[in-house]
Amino acid sequence: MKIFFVLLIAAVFATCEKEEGIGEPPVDFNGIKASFSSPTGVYDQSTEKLLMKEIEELSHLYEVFEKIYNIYPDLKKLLSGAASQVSGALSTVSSPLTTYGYIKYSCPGADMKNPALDFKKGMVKIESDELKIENNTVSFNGYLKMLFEECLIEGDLLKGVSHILVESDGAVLDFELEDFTGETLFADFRVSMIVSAEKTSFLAYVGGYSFVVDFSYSSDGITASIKASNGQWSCEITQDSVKCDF
Amino acid sequence: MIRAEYGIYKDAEIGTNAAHDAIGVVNLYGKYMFYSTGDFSFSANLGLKWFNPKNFWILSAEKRDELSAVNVYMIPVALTGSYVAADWIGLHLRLGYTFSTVDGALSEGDALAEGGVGGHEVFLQPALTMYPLEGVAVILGAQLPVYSGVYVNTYAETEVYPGVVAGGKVKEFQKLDVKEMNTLYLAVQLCWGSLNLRLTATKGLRFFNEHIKTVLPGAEVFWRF
Repeated sequence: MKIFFVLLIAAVFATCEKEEGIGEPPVDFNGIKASFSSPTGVYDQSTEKLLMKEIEELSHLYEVFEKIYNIYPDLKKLLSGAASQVSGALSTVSSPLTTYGYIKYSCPGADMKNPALDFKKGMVKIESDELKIENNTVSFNGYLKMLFEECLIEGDLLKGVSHILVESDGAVLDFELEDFTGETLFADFRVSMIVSAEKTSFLAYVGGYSFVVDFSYSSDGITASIKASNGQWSCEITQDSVKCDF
Repeated sequence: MIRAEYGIYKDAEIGTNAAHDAIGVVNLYGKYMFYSTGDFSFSANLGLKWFNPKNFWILSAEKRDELSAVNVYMIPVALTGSYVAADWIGLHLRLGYTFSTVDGALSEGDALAEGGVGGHEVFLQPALTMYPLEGVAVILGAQLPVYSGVYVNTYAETEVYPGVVAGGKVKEFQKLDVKEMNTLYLAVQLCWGSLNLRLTATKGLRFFNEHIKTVLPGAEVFWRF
């Protein structure tokens, strides 16, 4: 008996009232989206140093996400708004089913190419009240929660929860990092992100003003761009430095 | 069915179905007549049935082990009012509630499912008892469901592929449509001292919202001490 067969049995009672799950999102996703479309920060020489530091730290977080995506491309597809294929485990489900559900992804093993099969390097868990199973495909639509449970990725230990709104073209994330230790150290850090198939955008704050930082991978490595209220600039990120064309 | 009933003191008795006990279905019920005056009496009934397949010795050892985490419980509660209209006829009306549940864990391959399925039911049970001869009773009765609901509480998890585990939890409740799902029975009870034999014909035996429309025969032997 596979999990979805069990859930299918429960779907017989599809008209029933659901009693538990992850509930309503505690964040204003529309407010976050609006912040991305109109950054309030002004780039000038006084903000440059702090802004570069922000970009450096966020690029590290971006790299950590990319390392997870390398092992689980499904996860990126899911956050990009595409349904996530999860193999033949669903073959027993012949009709659409919506229920509370989750997927646990084991964090990468020592080789960073494969997951740690014993889950001893922690895990990333996605939970949703709107897990949909249809045509052998699992998709999470609407609000979901992503939990990083002591996820060790090379030298970085990641712990925290992200509230996510998945839409057709990407996802809006409100990420509360309880702990992020390693090369970069964050504690009680909160960051807003937008993930799409092409790029990952972060909202960076300097002196209380917001800047949008977009990251993407190219053949040359990670590239970034900064959007402020007074312009937009490109940056090149190497292992040792961040250089922007201010 | 083979029942044994014992009066523990005036107006109170306990009983068990020995046939069920013998195969591992532990069951006990009690009855207390808390009010009695002239032709009227009222009593309360409480029962418990518990079944774990590990005690169900007629199953294979392997099957018993596999199902050992599954438990089946049934708790019937009832209030019964009786009226002796004449020395040859009595009327009874029972208002009952039964809580039944199955919980436990089952595994198959790399999947694990835990949870419970159960139900709540409220019913009325009118009965007419006639005594045409010494030691003979004819009982005509019905079970009329008033309310019935079932719940499912399931947690299941399976490995989708190495390093990825999917799971889900469903907690649902549904009221069942039990209108016109009445059960009727006619019984003849013969009594020889403490030994009783009851032969029954039941029409419309029901399990949740499944209804067996054919007439089913039944026999019950019980001792009342």
